[in-house]
Amino acid sequence: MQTIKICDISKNYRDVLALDKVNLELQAGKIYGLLGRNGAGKSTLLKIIADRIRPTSGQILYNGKTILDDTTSRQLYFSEPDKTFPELLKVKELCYYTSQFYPKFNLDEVLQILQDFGINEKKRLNQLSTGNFAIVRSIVALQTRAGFIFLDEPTLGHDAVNRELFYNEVLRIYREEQNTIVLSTHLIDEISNLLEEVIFIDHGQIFLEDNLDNIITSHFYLTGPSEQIEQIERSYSVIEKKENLGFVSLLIRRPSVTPDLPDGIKTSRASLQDIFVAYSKKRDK
Amino acid sequence: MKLNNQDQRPIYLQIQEGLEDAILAGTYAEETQIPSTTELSQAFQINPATAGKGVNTLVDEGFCYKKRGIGIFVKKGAREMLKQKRQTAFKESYLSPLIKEAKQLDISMENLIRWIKEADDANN
Repeated sequence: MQTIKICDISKNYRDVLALDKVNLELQAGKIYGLLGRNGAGKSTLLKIIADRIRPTSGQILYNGKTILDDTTSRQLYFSEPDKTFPELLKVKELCYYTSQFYPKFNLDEVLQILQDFGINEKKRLNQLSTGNFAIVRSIVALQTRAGFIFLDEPTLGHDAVNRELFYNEVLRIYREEQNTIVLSTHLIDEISNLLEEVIFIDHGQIFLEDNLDNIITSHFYLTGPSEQIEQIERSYSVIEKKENLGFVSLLIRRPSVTPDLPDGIKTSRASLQDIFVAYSKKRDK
Repeated sequence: MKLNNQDQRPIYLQIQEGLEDAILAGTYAEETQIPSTTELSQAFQINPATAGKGVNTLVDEGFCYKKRGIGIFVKKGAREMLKQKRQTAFKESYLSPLIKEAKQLDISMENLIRWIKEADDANN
């Protein structure tokens, strides 16, 4: 599969609009970050892409086709934090069934990896701690080596050490498979180094979608005394304005031509998380 | 070479600069191979495309070259060229902020120059 195209997808849960005319194209061979606050619509979007729920309107095109047939579904894996597996299933059985559906899933290798994480393959899924279930679910997902892997809140329940190990696994699988991995999370700064493309979602709408480097280089802070900032404020597209004890700090989107800055105004870089938070606050107003 | 997460510049620029520093320091001598995209991705836990972008910028700017199927090598003369590039950048990235800060603090040019000399003497 080369692309998944999300066309005009909307989803209503009774009178709540969870997704509002979302358009997006996911390409083969990239790591995407689907970033948004709780309730922004991340999980709903992923569930619709994975055909777990139906959209209210719009359609998904898998390589141009509207149907997720048997061949295509083997190229797509969706892992969610909700316990959707039969809870009496043993770890080993989960791995076995997954290997039957995903041809690249190497049963022996996966069981070995899980053992290295200290997980007993004979345990039933409902006997696992939250942390161990999180490990099983994310390792199984990555090891399908499917062309498109969707990981919804993959680090939920992982401790700091396991998150680190998980990020290494994401990159290792990506280097080996050159597949598409979509990480949906609200832990933005922690995963930003893994990403190539960033999708910001808020209140059911995608409000920014770009290459990570483009986003980082096109936004920065201007900080200085109020009077000086007021002189130049109008020449910029301001995302966020913070006033503090007579000093003002603006998060701006870089214009095509950067005007000369008056003395006393300093520029500094913003992190992906700073940029995300600023846009979200602006949208709340 | 080290990535700094407090440094908010794009990671690929930090990779590029780190490799440049290593070439300047002679860690990667001319006509020797620099780390591959895979090695950089592993070592710094970053997206391989980001690592690739950092490496490719060195190729595009003429400091390194690709040997098909083998990897990226430091060009002959790259160290000298890099030194030139960094000297040009020195004014903007070091002198301008230094002078700006000095003015804000009412430090005279004479004092500034004297302090630089003193600091240099202390270092030697």
